[in-house]
Amino acid sequence: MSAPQPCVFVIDDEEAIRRSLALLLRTAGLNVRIFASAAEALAATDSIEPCCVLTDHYMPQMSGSELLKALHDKGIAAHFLLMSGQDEDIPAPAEFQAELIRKPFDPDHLTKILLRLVAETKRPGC
Amino acid sequence: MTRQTNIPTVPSAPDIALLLVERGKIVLANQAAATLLGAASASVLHGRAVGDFLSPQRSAALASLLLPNETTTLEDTTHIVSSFHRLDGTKVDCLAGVEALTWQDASVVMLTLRVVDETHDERMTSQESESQLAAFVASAMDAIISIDAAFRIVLFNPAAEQMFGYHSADVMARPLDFLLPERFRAAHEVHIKQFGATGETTRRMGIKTALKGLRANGQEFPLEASISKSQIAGQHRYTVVIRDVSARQQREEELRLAQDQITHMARLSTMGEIASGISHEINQPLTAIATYAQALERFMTGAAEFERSEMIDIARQITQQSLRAGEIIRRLKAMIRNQVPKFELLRIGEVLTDVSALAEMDARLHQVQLKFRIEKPDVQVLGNAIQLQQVLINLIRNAIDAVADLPASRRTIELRQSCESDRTHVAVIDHGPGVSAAQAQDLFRAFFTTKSHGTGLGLPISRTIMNSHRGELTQSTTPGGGATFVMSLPSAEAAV
Repeated sequence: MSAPQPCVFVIDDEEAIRRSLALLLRTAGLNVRIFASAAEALAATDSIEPCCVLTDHYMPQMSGSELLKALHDKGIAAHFLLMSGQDEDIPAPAEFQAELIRKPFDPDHLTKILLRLVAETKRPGC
Repeated sequence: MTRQTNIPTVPSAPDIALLLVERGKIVLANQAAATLLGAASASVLHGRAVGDFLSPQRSAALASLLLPNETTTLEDTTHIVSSFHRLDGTKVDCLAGVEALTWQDASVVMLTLRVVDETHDERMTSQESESQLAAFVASAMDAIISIDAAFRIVLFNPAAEQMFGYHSADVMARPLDFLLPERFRAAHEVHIKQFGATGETTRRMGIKTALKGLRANGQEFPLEASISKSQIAGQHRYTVVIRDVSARQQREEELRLAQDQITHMARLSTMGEIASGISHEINQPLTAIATYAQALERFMTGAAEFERSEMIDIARQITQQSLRAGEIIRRLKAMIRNQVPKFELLRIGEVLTDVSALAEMDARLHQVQLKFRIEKPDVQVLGNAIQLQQVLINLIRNAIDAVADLPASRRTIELRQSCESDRTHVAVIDHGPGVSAAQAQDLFRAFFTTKSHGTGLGLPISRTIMNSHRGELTQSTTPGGGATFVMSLPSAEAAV
């Protein structure tokens, strides 16, 4: 099932990051859903299928890359973007492509990437 | 009648208390005598009046033999049971052997003491007592050198030969000063003359000062010496007992260097770990600030519409996140500042709250759950907050590593604070693979580590810190498996 408008999931346990990203991405016209944990986002995919998932990696309980793997295993074919504030490399799951975004990032650049990904998803009829 | 005593080399000295008394003063004593009389070392006895140690009630006979009296003559070894005072005032009954000898051209009395027991019939023959004095000098661990009033060597024992690298026969009658580095010679002579000129013969004359010696091979070495003075026919005679302390000083120096190195490495590794944790923490507010600023920019360029209240909120968020970043930097600076640890009264609850704040990040990064169980948060301890935090953070970090391979549900670390009589304990409990018996032996040894990137310094430093807090750091096995580390330290008065 798909939402009426392509949806971007933003997952970060840090409230300031969630709120600021939601604010910015909405000004760009994106349909954004924010979640404080991987589990909440995973549960939400029962009713909404996102076209983009932008998640922090280091989170309690379930990490960002674990979430992406779970979504992938669940058959969710979204664009995956993994954020990290650490300098070290994140062991990215090999089964799918995930773009690594280091914090702090250029918010304008991120917005453009997401807009492009959403547009790409739209064309085949997301 | 007196006998001239040569100093034959005797392989071992019987452990009998031996004092050499000249005109009522102890000029030489061995360790057994020091032990018997309650002195820390033989040098403490040197120069003391032997009368100080004689009990007036039960030693009159002995006193008359020992105290200066030109008319006293001893025909043979005399044995008298006498009572002695130890330095701490307690009494000890001894069988005292008294014998007149000529030692280094001086008339002396040799006193051998054995604590009296039921069978005190073992009386030494004079032959035995002579060889005991000889053995004492010959087998002494310390160099013993005697010089006459002209500073010429009259006795040079085997330990002195070993220490300075000369044969006794080659140094006899030579002035002493070749045993000192040249720059000290003039001052040394003055010192000895001044020492000789003091009238302080009734006080202890053994002095201990840091000096340098010169070996035959030209090598200088640090030494400790005690000197005692005696007088023979108006002429001064000095006996110096010398200990080579170079090995000890070298050990101390090595230890100090190792300590410095450990501290330095610990600081570096702590800084590295703090830096990586901090970089993540600081990147969070920076990300939020950049994102909010970008949203504002979109408003300014007409790409976005905001309500006035939203704009105010965005500006506030930017301010708040900037302040937060600044606070993190301040915390980093406080942590790495090279500060002399200041001890103060700390509430254990506050220490643990700070630890919780510092460790939370690390735990979150590794998806480990930290549980704090604080029984008495108001109990106070005397200590340095930063150091105690360092110990606990280190233990938590080790525990995080220990549980890293467990399923997420079991990645739990418990910090449990409790009190037992006058001590406060903080246990860091994990359910990881635990510590094997073999590892446990080396756990607190510097540079021992089971981690691929470990320094092996965390636990040794932690234990050092705990020792400086009059506390302990111990390891045990968690019931059901895993490692438990307990820091314990004395509780101060509980805060009311």
